[in-house]
Amino acid sequence: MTFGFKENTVDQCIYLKVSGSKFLFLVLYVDDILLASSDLGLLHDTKAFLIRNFEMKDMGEPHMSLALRFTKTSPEVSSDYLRRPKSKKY
Amino acid sequence: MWARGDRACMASMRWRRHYLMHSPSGIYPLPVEFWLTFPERGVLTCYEFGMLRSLLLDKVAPKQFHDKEMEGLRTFSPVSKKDSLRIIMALVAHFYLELHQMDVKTAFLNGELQEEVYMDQPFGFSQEGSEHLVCRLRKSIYGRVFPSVVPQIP
Repeated sequence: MTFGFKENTVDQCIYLKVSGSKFLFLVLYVDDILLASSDLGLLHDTKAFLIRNFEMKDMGEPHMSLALRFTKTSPEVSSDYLRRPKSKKY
Repeated sequence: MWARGDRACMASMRWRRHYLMHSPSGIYPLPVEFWLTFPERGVLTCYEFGMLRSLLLDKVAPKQFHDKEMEGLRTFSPVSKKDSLRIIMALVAHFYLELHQMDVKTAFLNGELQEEVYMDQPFGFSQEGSEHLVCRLRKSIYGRVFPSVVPQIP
């Protein structure tokens, strides 16, 4: 793995790229990749790199991945847990 | 109980035409539980518990491969741990990180293999009377983890 990625010592399918104050996590799960970054520019650069080098599809923000449902909430409400404490979905 | 699932998996493998055949001379089948990296090619060639996921090599497992390149190989787990995912998701939520998803194109996983790849028969599932044969892989194998310890199947 190049492009400034460093493999996690504990979990070999987690990669971290640090450039200046910006950082990016890459979570690899077979053919699914999650990218978490502090900076949108870095995220786009990395995605462009990945698309250039591998046959990949950009899925944008995740909705369903790894059998998990992703929901984005406003910063005021920290998560769905608070809104629906008794929901059986979790 | 889970043996049924494994047998169904093996049936599906037979259906997918992973032929059993004699190992051609000079070709050494890859062990079932294996992941490979080829640093000089920058390509991951991955086997894990009978799963072959991404394979871009012309020919896998000729003799020199075992002799010379074994040092360049290392085994590792193919999937990120659920805990790691949770930690990163916590970081994402806490620091309001940007989160995006990418998929490796499925054609890559479902396509017929152009390369010659041979694999040992999965442990505990070798066909009776033909234990000396190896599997010629026709397609990528993935989707199920074979148990590392296989109990007796009635």
